Amino acid sequence: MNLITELIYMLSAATLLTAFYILLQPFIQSMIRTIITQSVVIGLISFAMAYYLRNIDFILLGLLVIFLRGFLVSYLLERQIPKRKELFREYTKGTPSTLLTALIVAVVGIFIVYFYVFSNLITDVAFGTNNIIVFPFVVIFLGIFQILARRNTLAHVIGYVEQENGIVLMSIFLIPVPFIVELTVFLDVIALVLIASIVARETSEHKNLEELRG
Amino acid sequence: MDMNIILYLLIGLPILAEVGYLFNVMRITTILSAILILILTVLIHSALPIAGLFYITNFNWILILMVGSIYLLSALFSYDYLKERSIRMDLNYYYVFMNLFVATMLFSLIINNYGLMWAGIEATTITSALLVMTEQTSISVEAAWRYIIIVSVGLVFAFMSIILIYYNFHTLTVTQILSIPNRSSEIVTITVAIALVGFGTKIGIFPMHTWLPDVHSEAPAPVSALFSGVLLPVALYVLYLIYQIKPLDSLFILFSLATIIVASIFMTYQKNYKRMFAYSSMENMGIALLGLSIGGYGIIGALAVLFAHSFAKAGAFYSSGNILHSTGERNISKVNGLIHDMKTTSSALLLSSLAVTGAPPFGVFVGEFLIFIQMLRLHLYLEFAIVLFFLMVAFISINYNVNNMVFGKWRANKEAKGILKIIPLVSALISLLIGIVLIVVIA
Repeated sequence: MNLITELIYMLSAATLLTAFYILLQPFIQSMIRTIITQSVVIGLISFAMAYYLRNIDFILLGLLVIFLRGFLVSYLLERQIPKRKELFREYTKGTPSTLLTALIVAVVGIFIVYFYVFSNLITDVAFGTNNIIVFPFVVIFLGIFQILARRNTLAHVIGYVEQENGIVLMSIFLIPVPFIVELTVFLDVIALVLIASIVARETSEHKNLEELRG
Repeated sequence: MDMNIILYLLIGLPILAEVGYLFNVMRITTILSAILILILTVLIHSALPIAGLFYITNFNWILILMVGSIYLLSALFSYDYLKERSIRMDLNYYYVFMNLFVATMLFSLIINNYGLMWAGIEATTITSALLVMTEQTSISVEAAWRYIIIVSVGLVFAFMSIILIYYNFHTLTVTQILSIPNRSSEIVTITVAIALVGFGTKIGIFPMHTWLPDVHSEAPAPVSALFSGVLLPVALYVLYLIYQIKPLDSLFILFSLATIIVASIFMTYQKNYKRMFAYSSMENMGIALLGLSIGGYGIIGALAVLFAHSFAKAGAFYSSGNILHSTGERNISKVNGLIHDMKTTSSALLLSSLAVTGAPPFGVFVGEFLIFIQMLRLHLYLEFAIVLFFLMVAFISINYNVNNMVFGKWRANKEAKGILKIIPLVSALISLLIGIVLIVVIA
């Protein structure tokens, strides 16, 4: 394994760490800061891929991830946090059980998706061996888990952004989709976050309503 | 005129209509844009099939016609309806979002690229989410939120399938991919299955349907009509184009059967009439997906179901809106005797209910009949029996409830005024007309 390969694997592992950290974090501002970190790490992976494959498209993609996904989306989210931002939190309980369940989600995700489905089907990847696609899949699963485990509106949006980050990572490792499609997807995600933040102003926590049952 | 310019105009007209915001005439520009879209749709028919930057065949041409028609009906119905409901939202904003919603649906329908189709479908979520919470009640806000989150999670999977399509074919152009002779491979199988989960969320396929009854029941009537009548079919069309890459008929039939069964069972114990109609939309999408999966007459049947259902369901939601406004009740058991004071609205409701449940000679009946013929030709006897049984369950559930609402004991209700009572009836009658024309053509 040469230096650049090691670097890409290490950065990929860092995306998983950020995903777990977001999941266990009750403070919304801290979650947003971590999603910026995750986006920047994915941007760095894209830059490393640009160097590895000598392909300038990855630099553009990396810049898009860092500036649009990392900073713009996070700015839009942070604006929705009420005053005394650093204290705004969701009251969660059972952190060890959340961590345990998240680990189960990640492991089951890896086993089902990679070993049983994709290991024999995806043979030709843009980088390294095909086991690299385990990382994006786990980030996507943890993003879904974040939405399932939380009741706070902003925590849901962060889970969604995390999933989209997983998709970008998957696209980087498999095959980057045409730039126009990639750009449209980025704009879609920003618009969705914008709309979600408007809805977030109306309601901050989600409960089961009798009227919406059955 | 160059065809591409006409097609740019088709997508661009609802966006151009936003100019009305500056002069406070959004209602007029929206109605004008809807009429012009219908005219352009008729004009492009002679040039079909179109394949280039845009991809239009007879199949999606009918869907464009549906979008234009329901757009016009909803634009006409919205103004008076929302005025009567005295909503807090500025009506100009409402029309701005409605126009964007329609533009994104038209874009998804005609663009010749799977990736951009996905972007269009995702954009429909963005543009329609605020329409759902027009009435700004806590329940409608929660419904809008569930819609945004559940559908977006589903569409993440849909985008995964788009990446896999690109990984496999190195292009996302629909016509190019569909012209490749040997498209079948294991990775394509997985891709189509993931697309079923992803786009199935937007269509309301079981078990990813949970947002659908919430949104349809809480959105204002004209928005519910757009959702049920055209948004679900547009997403179904995109899924169908992916299905054509490799037809996984067994899997698609299984999911469509599950959708029909679950929707029919849920319909039996619904207390809210709008929610009941939402499950009926889910059931009809299940039937359409079944038709598309079995091919042959099934495809024509599915198209007939979608076309007739869009008008019938729009009629059902418009009349439901009138009833909700008049009675202030969503509960089926608390609404009765509508026929005495709300003759036009209750007639529209009755006709629409018969239409959406596939009573002859409505268009949905003809479509279902064609799907049944194809099922029997393919010797799908068990599936045929299951579908027939659960369609009967749905028919009885809806019509029993609607009959109680219309003919039950007398209670004072106030009929809607002017255009509000005419549009539901017109929608239901168009569905009847579609059925009669189809029967004549087939005969």
